[in-house]
Amino acid sequence: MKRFVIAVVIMAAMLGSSGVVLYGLTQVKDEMIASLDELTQMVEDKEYDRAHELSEQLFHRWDEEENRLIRYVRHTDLDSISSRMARLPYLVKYKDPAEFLSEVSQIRYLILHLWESELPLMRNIL
Amino acid sequence: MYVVLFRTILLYILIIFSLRVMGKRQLGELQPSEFVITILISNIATLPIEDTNVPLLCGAIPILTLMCFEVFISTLILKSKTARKVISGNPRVLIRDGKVDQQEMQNLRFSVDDLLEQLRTNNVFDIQDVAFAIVETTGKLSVYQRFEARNVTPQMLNLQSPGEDALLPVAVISDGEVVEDSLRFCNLKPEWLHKVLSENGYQPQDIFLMTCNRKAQYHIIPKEK
Repeated sequence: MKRFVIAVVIMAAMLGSSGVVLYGLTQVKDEMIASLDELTQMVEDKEYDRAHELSEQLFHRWDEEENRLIRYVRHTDLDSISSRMARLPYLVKYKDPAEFLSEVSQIRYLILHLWESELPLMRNIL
Repeated sequence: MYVVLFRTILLYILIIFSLRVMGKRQLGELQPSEFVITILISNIATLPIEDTNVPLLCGAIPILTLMCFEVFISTLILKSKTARKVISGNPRVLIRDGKVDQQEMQNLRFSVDDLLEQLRTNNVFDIQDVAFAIVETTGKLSVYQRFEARNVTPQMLNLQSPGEDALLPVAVISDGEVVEDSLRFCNLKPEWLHKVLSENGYQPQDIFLMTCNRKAQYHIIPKEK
């Protein structure tokens, strides 16, 4: 009976912490997507100085989140996003909007894909 | 390299913990579900070790999940006869009253060579000596021999029992350390032990193994110098 109780406690802890992790990932996704949308708007409005500042803040923010996400997300997925994020400040600084928007689009897709692949949906489970 | 090293140690500790919680038996006595779990756990554990891009949690969570499910299934098997039948199956009689059930052997995909091999591992070299042979749910064959082929027992010779508990030898000193529980089992005191060792010219730390039974019959194996 003791083993059964231990197993129930461990299972409940895993289910609970999985929920917390998914909630955290959703928060990160929403925050990053909102920031990327704001950045895109700034570049389209040719507000390059503000966009440069925001892109740097976004990169640092992502760096902090990555240290947390790395515990339960594949590192290669995170590395793909990080390497693209690192380019953004320089694309804005040297005023390359086409390349910048392309990178933002890719980052957006990767972050959404990262979040969707963690959802307990049939297509992910099967 | 440190990453792989520490991951291996952590997963090893986790697997030991999981096996302790599951209460594993020897490999040959595992039920089908337990056998599956054991293989799965060993395969899953290698993933974060081989590929450092995989987070450690991606190995730990499946191992703990399998461990929990194994405990749930084994509890269910304990409580429900139907579940036991579905998950573990039933023992099957291969030889009944000395007659081989060939249809049952076909059903179990048990060949003649398999049968003879299993009989030999049960120290039975003549199939005529077998009254009953049962394939357990673990796949092991249990054999009940005919009366004429069985080993002689003290009961058959009307021998008096000296009392089995009294003659069971236990280790009272193991690798230089005195085992207090064993001394208590033999109803002996540490003073007796030291007296015996002194008479033989030993200290406890000089002893590799000392066994003793409740009749104070002891055997000493000293450590090699």
